[in-house]
Amino acid sequence: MRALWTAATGMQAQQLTLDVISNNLANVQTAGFKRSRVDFQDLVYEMLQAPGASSAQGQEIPAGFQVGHGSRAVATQRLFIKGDLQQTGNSLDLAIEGDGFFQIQQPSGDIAYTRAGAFKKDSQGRLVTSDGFTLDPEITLPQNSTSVTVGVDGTVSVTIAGQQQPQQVGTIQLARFTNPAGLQSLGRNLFLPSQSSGDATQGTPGQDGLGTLIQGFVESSNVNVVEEMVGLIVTQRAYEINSRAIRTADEMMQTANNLVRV
Amino acid sequence: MDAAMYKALSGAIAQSRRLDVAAQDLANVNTSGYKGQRLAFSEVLANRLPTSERPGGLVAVGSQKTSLTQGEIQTTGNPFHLAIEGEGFFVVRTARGERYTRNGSFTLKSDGTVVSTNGDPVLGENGPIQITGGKMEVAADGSVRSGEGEVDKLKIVRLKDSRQAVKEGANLFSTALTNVQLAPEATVMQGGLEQSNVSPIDGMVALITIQRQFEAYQRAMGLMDDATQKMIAAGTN
Repeated sequence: MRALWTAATGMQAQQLTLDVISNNLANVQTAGFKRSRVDFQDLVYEMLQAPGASSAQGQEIPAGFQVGHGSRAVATQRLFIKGDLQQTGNSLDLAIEGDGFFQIQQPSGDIAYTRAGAFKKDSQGRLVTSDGFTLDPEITLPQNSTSVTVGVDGTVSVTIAGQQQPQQVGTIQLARFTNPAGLQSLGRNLFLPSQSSGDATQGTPGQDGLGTLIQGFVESSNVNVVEEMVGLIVTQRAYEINSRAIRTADEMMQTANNLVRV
Repeated sequence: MDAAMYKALSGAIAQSRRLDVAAQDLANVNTSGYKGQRLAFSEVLANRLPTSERPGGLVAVGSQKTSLTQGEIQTTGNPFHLAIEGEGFFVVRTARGERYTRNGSFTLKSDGTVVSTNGDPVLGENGPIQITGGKMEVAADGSVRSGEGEVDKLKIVRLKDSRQAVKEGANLFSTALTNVQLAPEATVMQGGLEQSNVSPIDGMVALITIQRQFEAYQRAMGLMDDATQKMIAAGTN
């Protein structure tokens, strides 16, 4: 009775889907968060009768008979669909309208990538993430600056107290990937490039297919609660039906046991 | 008497085979590009017996068919997710040769080759597809453009006889090369994945009927056993 084990793999697959949906739902308010989905495959098949083989009468069997062994999860993929832009009014909140990632310098020196543009100013005036990691290239706001303006092309200019002309202090650069779904999640809204994401291509916002920057907005999570709820229902039902298959297999074995009456 | 017993037994075995297949389908209700299976049963004769003594009525799995009906297409927004609308299969090059799949969940290798989630290159009409220049666009007719212009056209094939398709696992089908022909008219959708075509409701109904039929065969065997027992008892009294 293979069905028992086959259905068990189905239940495991649904459990994993539930884990991923829960993580998506837990991040429904996380700025710059991108939802994930699980990719499944069917497991190997056992060939009980090959198609095209000869039957005893010397005739060809038109179709074979194969029994599979269930399903397994092969990958989780991030879906880089755009999240809604949410106005915050904070001049250091930046959202990317279109493709691209902010480049963040990790303490280790490696560059990580993020869509979460809620930046802060540290004690030295540098633009940092909520974890204190600096933006790359580094942007430093002078101590006596009164207001900050970020242009759509990433130009950062400040007004300094006592001066009329705004002063340019740097340009924010963005990076993009051929296959963002291949990025490796690091937590803290950060992503690392991997073999399958391709190398980062740097550029100025608004050029070479990169998105433009919008000041005073953050990109909210792209998790759609309704969609995840539907996912939960589908997952639960799929889990139930696989457990039902296990019960059926069990009861059939019980029936077979009852063939012999003592 | 024995013959009837074996007929009921063959029926019970057939139902347990059906359960194995139904469980496989249900385990894959969420597998992209998965195609459900159907079993057909046929009456077989016990060939070794002389014609006059053949019992008839024994049941066995006659054939199995993969149901190639279209699954629903779910939009994901990932440019490397492709779905075929209508007939056709994507072609991937595995170490064992060309294989066919309906699961268009692809990704990129470090050298720019478009690969399946198992790392097998996806084939265009001129071999593996290489993406350079930052993006991939796939038109409805399957032609692929990268950031640097036209690259290739996805190779999409059709099976002349879908009954000859052998499932290999990992969402792959294999078949004889003579059974494959190009399907240039297939429609490809970018940014979506085809869901499994297994219906959980059909699966539930199948589970119930399988179990009840299995029970019926068991009852039949029990009754025949009772009858034999009574006969023996009548003989000894």
